[in-house]
This record gives sequence, structure tokens and C-alpha cells, in this order.
Amino acid sequence: MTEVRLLIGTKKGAFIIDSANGRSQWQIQGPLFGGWEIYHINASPLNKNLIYASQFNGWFGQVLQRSFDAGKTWEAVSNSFNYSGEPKPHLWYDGSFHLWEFAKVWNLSPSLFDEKTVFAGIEDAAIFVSHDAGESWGELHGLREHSTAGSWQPGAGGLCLHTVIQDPTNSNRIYVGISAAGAFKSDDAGLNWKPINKGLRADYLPDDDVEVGHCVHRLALHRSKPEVLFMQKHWDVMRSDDAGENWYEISGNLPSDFGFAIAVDYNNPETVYVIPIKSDSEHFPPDHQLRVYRSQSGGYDWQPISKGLPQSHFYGNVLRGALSSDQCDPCGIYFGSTTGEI
Amino acid sequence: MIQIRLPQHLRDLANISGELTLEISGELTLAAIVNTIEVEFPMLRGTILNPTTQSRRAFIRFFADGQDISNMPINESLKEYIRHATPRIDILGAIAGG
Repeated sequence: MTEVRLLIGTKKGAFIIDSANGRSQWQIQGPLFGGWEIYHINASPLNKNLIYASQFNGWFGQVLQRSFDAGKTWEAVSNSFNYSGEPKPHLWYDGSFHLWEFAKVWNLSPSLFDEKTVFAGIEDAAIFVSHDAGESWGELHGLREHSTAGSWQPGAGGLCLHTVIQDPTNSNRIYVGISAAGAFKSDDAGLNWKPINKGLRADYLPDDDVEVGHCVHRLALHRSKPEVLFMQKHWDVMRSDDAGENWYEISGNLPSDFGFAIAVDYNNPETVYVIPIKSDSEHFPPDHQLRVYRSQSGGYDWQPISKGLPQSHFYGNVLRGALSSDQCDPCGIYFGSTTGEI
Repeated sequence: MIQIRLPQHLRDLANISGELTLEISGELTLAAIVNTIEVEFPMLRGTILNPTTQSRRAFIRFFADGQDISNMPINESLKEYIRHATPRIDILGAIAGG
């Protein structure tokens, strides 16, 4: 019997949706933490019942929740994210300097290798790790102490570290994405980091080819080809065949290469999905038609998939964490919109 | 003993119904009140005062027996604002977002 579980974070709370019978029927649990924004909810790949949720609210700040029983019961764990060392400045929107300041947790990525280890990507951008299932957090400060960090500048959502990807074949290799600094890689389990933005272009900056300053929206890889990375950038869909050392554009025939989300098919490392959005000023799909675009050749050639999706007057957006694949064959592709549909 | 009223979101988070009655040891200050709440209800850590700066979260206000003490230094005694034998501290969330 095929079991699928969807973990869904929304502005109004979290939902856990289970199917025990091959995706034909679903049981909805939620809303959990009603009235709180759930920036991320994620389960351990080593224990599907161990789930973390980043619970945020503009009034009361950040709470982190953990469940060992698939969301039936929850307990608050540490929400203490203290930057290492003296506070340092990064660039603010207007070019002035702003001291690094914790705002919220954007990403919770349980380790692929150790059940009690979990990474947190936060705003202002930094990566933290817990080795006790969220009871305490320590910063992997080599990232924020990179020589370029003083020039990092927030995107519209803040200076957020929104993507954490571990190489499934190499526990020392970690990738992160930061808006609007770029992509970074560590090959020593997070101690040292380097920008991996060669080939990215930022038409919105005076120097298109800067080392950092790129608004990376999302990164993805397939477990069988971990050296191949896919990226949805602010504009441009990109690919790297050498673990991020060099990037090239694969936007091809997409109607717009602006977007937030990108995902790789669970069963085929060359099948990639994106959901184009018209532009950075008009956050809805081109022609107001909600279409998933799939490339079955690793990019460049894309085909729209629209059956079952609204094809007129759709004005929602699909944000970076809201597109994913299950582990069935063929896999299910799931996405959520800012207008509330799954 | 003091009576404390928390915003609904925080009552839900801590699984509290109604008002809290807490014993505050030492001087009655905002810091002592919040610290006592957080010890009793660890899931509320950092939700009332910013844990890094120890400043009041912007959309939260404090009242002691009906008087606005939101801008008092958190370590200052609340003695002069107390009117009742069992003081009541209101911790309110601003109505915003409508």
C-alpha cells in the first residue's frame, strides 16, 4: 500500500495530509497552530514521524515546534538563535549598513545522515545546526563570516537563507541559497563556505557578473545525480553539472523565466518542474493561466501541463517552498498557491 | 500573587484557559513577570520580549491594574502602579491587520 504524507505550511497554520491508499483518498489534519504563519514544516528522512515546524507571528516572533508522533502532539523546542561573535553589518535596502538581526526561521532541514541533526536557515541569513533534535542551536558561522558577507543585501522578503540542501552521497557537502546574496557551498560539513555563482547574471545590478548579490530563489537536486544542481533564480532557470562551480541557463522556451519554485522528479534526474510567474512586479502566471512546466531533458525544452489547473483569471503565485514531489512511481507533483489551493 | 492575562495566541500556544495566577519572587518588575511566565511555560520563551534585545515586542503592550506601563524599563519596580492586593497584569496584543 502506497503511503504519502504532505506537510503544508500556510499563513494560517500547518496541515498534515495523509493518503494510505495510493493518493486516492486523503485525511487532513489541521489547521495546526491556527493563526500562526508556518514558514516551513519538514520531516526527518530517517524518521517520518519526526516533524519540525517553524511557527512565526508578527506579534510574538519565532517559535519552533517538534513532533515525534507525526503531528499528533507537539512540543516547543529552542527558538534561541544567537549569532556567533560580535554583531556585524550587512547592506540594507538603501545601501546603508544594518547589523545582523534574527527575524525568523525560513528553513528546517533534518539531516539525511543523523536522525537528531537538523539544520535551520534563518533571516538575517545564517545557517544553524542542532544535534539534539532542536533542543539547542549553534551557528555554522563560517558562512556569515565569509569575506563577502558585508555586501549581502536583503531581497523583498528579507535577507533570508531559505534553502538548505545536503548532498545525499557526501555528508560533508551542503548547499544553501540566500536572497539576495546567492548560492553557497560547504565541503566540510558547514565549517567553511564559498559562493558558487559563476555563470549567474544579475541584470538588476550595475555589475551583472558579481560574485554575490544574486537573488537565488530555490535550488534542487536529484539523489542519483547530486553533482547536477537546478536553480530558479529571480529571473532565469539555471543548471550546473559540476556541483555549482559553473552555471548555465536552461530557461529555453519558458513563457517567463521568473519564478520561485523548482523541483526534480523523484524517479528521473533529468525531469524538472517549474511554475513560471510573469515578472518580479506581477506575481501571477503569464496570461493568468496556471501552468506547471516540465522538462524531460534536464532543461531548455519545456512543456506546459495545465490539465486540471485554472486557465483563466488566476492571479496567485507559487512560492519557493511550495512545489515538491512524492516518492511514488510515477511520482506525484504537488504545489500550493498564495491563493490557498493545493 | 498576581493575575496575568495573556493574548489568545499565547494562551493557545501554552494551552492555558483563562487568566494565570503566578507567584513572583522578589521585586515585581516586567522582567520578573515575563521570566516567571517563561519558566512556567517554556513554549512562550521569546514571544513577549525579544530574546536578543530584551525589549518589548512592538505589537505587545503591558498594563498594571489598568495603567499603561508598556514603556517602563523592564527591570524597574511596578510598586507605584499597583492598586490591588492581587495585582492584575494585562499583556495585550495590538489589534492590527484589519
